[in-house]
Amino acid sequence: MTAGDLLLKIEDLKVTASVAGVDTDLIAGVSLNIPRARIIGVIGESGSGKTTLARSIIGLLESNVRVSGGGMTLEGEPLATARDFARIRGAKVGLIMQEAKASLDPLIRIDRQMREVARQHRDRTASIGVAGHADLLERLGFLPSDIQRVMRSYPHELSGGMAQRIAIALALIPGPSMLIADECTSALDVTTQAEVVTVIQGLVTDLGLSILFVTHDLSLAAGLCDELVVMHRGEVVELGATSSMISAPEHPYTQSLLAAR
Amino acid sequence: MAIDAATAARRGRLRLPSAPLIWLSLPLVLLVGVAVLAPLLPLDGARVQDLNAVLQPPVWAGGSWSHPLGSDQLGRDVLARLILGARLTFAIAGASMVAGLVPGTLLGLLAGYAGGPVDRVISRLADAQLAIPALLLAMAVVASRGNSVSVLVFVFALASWPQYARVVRAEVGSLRERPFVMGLRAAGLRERRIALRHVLPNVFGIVVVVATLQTGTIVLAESAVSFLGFGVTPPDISWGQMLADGKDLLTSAWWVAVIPGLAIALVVLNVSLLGDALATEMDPRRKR
Amino acid sequence: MVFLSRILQGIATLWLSATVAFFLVHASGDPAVQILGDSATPEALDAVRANLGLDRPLPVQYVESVGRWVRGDFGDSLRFGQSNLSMIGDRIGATALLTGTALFLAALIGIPLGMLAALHAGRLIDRVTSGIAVLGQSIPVYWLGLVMVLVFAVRLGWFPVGQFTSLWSLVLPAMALATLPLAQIARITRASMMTSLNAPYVVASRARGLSPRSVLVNHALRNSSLAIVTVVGLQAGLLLAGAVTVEAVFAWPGVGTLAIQAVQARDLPLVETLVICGASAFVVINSGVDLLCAWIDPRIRRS
Repeated sequence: MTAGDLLLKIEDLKVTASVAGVDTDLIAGVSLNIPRARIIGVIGESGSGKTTLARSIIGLLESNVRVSGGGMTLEGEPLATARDFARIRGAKVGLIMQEAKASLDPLIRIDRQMREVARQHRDRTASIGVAGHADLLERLGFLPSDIQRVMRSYPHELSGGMAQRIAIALALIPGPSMLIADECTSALDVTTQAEVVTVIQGLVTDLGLSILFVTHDLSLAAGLCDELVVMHRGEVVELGATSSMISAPEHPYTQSLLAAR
Repeated sequence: MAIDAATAARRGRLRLPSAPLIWLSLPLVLLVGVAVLAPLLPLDGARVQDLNAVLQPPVWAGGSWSHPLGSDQLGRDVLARLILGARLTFAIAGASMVAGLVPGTLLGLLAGYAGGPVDRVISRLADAQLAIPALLLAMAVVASRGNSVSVLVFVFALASWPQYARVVRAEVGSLRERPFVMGLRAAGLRERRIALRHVLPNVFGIVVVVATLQTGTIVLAESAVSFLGFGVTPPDISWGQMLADGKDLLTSAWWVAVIPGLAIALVVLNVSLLGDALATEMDPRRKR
Repeated sequence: MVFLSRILQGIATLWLSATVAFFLVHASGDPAVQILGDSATPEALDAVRANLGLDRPLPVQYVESVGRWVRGDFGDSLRFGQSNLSMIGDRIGATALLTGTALFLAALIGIPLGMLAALHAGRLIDRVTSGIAVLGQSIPVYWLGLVMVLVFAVRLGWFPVGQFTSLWSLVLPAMALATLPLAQIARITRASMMTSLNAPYVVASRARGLSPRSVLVNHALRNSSLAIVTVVGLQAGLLLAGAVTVEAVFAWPGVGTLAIQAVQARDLPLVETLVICGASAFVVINSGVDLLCAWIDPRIRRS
C-alpha cells in the first residue's frame, strides 16, 4: 500500500467514558490505517469498543464520552476539533446505522429528506454517475416502477431493507469517500441482508468508496471484507488480510471466534 | 455496549438509595401526625376570639410569640387554625383519593383486560369526565346540592377516577400480552382470577404514583373551591377556607391569606416531588 | 377518514359530558330546595318544580333537555331572566382574552425553556427549569394572583387595583394564570426533546452533516411538536377552570365570575349551560389538537 492510497489514519486512539466521576477506557489505544476503495471489517462482541470506534471517527460520541488520547487524520487532514468533524460529517464520511427505519425522520417524506441533505451539502450525485435522486435509488436496487412511490413515502411505509438502502442513498448524496456501516445488516433477514451487502460491494467496486464494516458477524465479514480488524475489550487483538486471518488466526480470541462460527 | 453499560450504571446509582423517598415522606408524615393529634394539642386559640389581639403580625414581622404566625381579624391564632385546617384539608384529600382510586383502578383493569366494546365504553366515559374540570364539576354539584364535606369528596373522586383508569388501562393492556398471563390461561385459571390476583398486583406501583400526584391536585382543588366559598365554610376550617377568609385583609394584614397559601404550596410541592421520586423508584426509565 | 371519525368521537364525548352534567345537577339533590332554601313552603317548592319541569320523571326531563340542546336552546337564567347562551356570549370575549394571553405567555416562555433544559440536560438551566416546573404546578393560582396584587399593585403601585380598566390590567391576571400551563409545557417540552434528541434519526441527521440548526428545528423540534401541541391543547382546556378563580381574584368580567354568581344564586339552568359550554370548549380544543397531530404525523393519519 502506498501513502497515496491511505484515506483514514488512526493512531493510538484512546476513548474514555466518565460515569459518576469514574473514568473507564472504552478504547485503549487503537491504531488503524484505512486505504481507499477497500472494505475493512471491524469484528467484536458488544462491549468490544467497535461502535465507539465508529462513532469517534465521525465525532458523534455521547456527551459523557471523549477522545482522551492519540489522533486521526482523514486524507492527511487532522480530525480533532468539533470544526474538523463538522467539515467531514456527511461530506467525506457517512454513517449507516443498525436501526434503518429509525434513522429516517418519521414525519418527513423520503424525497424531502433527500433534498434536505442535497441542499445542505453540494449535491454530488452527478459525480457518482447518476442523473438524480431517482436514478440514485435505481442504482441502489429499487425497481424503476417503484421509485416514484418510494420517494413519496414516509419511512414507516417502507420495509427494513428498503429503509436501509434509502439511508445509504442519503449518505451517498454528498459524495463521501468513506462509509461507516455500524451493524447495518444485523436487524435484517438473511435475504434482505444479502441485498444490502451486494449494494455495499457495488459502492466499493463502482464508486471507489472505503467501507468500515462494523459487525459481530464473523461469517458475514469474512465473505465481504478485504481486511479484518478483531477488537476485544477496547483493543485491537489482531488485524490483517481476511484470507490469511481466516486460515491462520494468531490471537487466541480470534481463534475462539472462528471456532464458535 | 459500553454506552449502555454506562447508562445502566448511572441509573443504578440513582436507584440504589431510597434516601430521597425517606426525606420527602418525612415532612408529610410529620404533618399528618400533627393533624391527627390536633385534638390533643392546646389549640383553643383557633376558635376563641380575642378582640384585644386582632390582626397581630407574625413574630418575624413585629409580632409576639403568643401568636407565632399572627392572628386574624377576630384575634384567632393563625398557627392553631393552620393545624386544625390541616385536619380537614388532609381528610378530604385522603378520602377523595381513595374514593377515586378504587373505582378508577377497577374500571381501568376492566377496560384494559377485557378490551373490545367494554374498553371503548369506559374510555369514552373517562374522556367525557375529563372534559369537565374538577372545579366546574364541584360548582355544578354545589349549586344543586349545597356544599358539604361529603359533596366535596364525591366530586373530587368523580373528577379523579379517569386518571387512574387511563394509566391502569394502558398498563394492563401491555401486561395482558405478557407470557405469564398466557401461561396462567394455559393452566386453566379463570380470567377473573388472573385479572384480580395476578395482573392487578402488577399495577399497584403505578397506581401509587398516580395517587400521590392526584392527592396534590385534590389539595389544590379543595382550596380553590373553598376559596370561592363553595367548599369548606365557617365554622369548619380548611386551608382554602382560611385563604378565602383572609383575602379581603390583603392590604392591611397580608399574613392571614399568605400563610395558608404558602402552606398549600409547600405541601403540594412536597407531594409532587414525592410522586416524581416514587415514579423514578418504580421505573428508572421514567427519570428522563 | 380521520377527520370525520374524530368529529364523531368529539360529539359522542360531548353528549356524555352533557349527560354527566345533567344528572349531577338534577339527580344529586332537590334543586328546588337549593333554590328557595330550607324554609320554603311546600306550595312554593311545587311551583318552582313545575316551573323548571322538575316534577316530571327524570328520563323525560333528560330526553327533553337533550332535544333542546340539539336545537341550541339552553333556556333562560333564573337569576338574570336572560338567555343563558347570550349571557355567556357577552362574557366570553373577556375570558378568551385572559386565557388566550395566558396560554400565549405560557407557550412563549415554556417551550424555549423546555428546549434549553433538554439541550443542557443536567446543567444549571435544566435544574432551574425543573424547579420552576415543579413549583409552578404546586402553587394555588388564585393565591399567586393575590400575592401579585399585594406586591405589584398595592406595594409597588405598578398596576391598577381591582377594576378592568385597560390592557395594562390584563398583565397580572394573565401572568398568574400562565404559571401552571407554563410549568407543564416546559416539563413536557423538555421530556419530549430529550427523547427526540437521542433518537436514531437525530444521530443520523447529524452524521449526514446537517447543520445543528437544521437538526434541532427540522428534526428534533418537529418530532417533539406532537407532545408539545398535545400538552398546549390540554392546558388550554384546563385554563377554563383556572380562569374561574383568577377572575374572582381580579374581578375580571368574564365567564368565571358569571359562574360564581350562578352558583351563589343556585341558578341551575345557567350552571348547567356553563358546564356544557366548558366541556364543549375542552372537546373542541382537544379534537383540534388531535387533527393537528394527525396533520403533523403520517403514522397517526393512517391508523
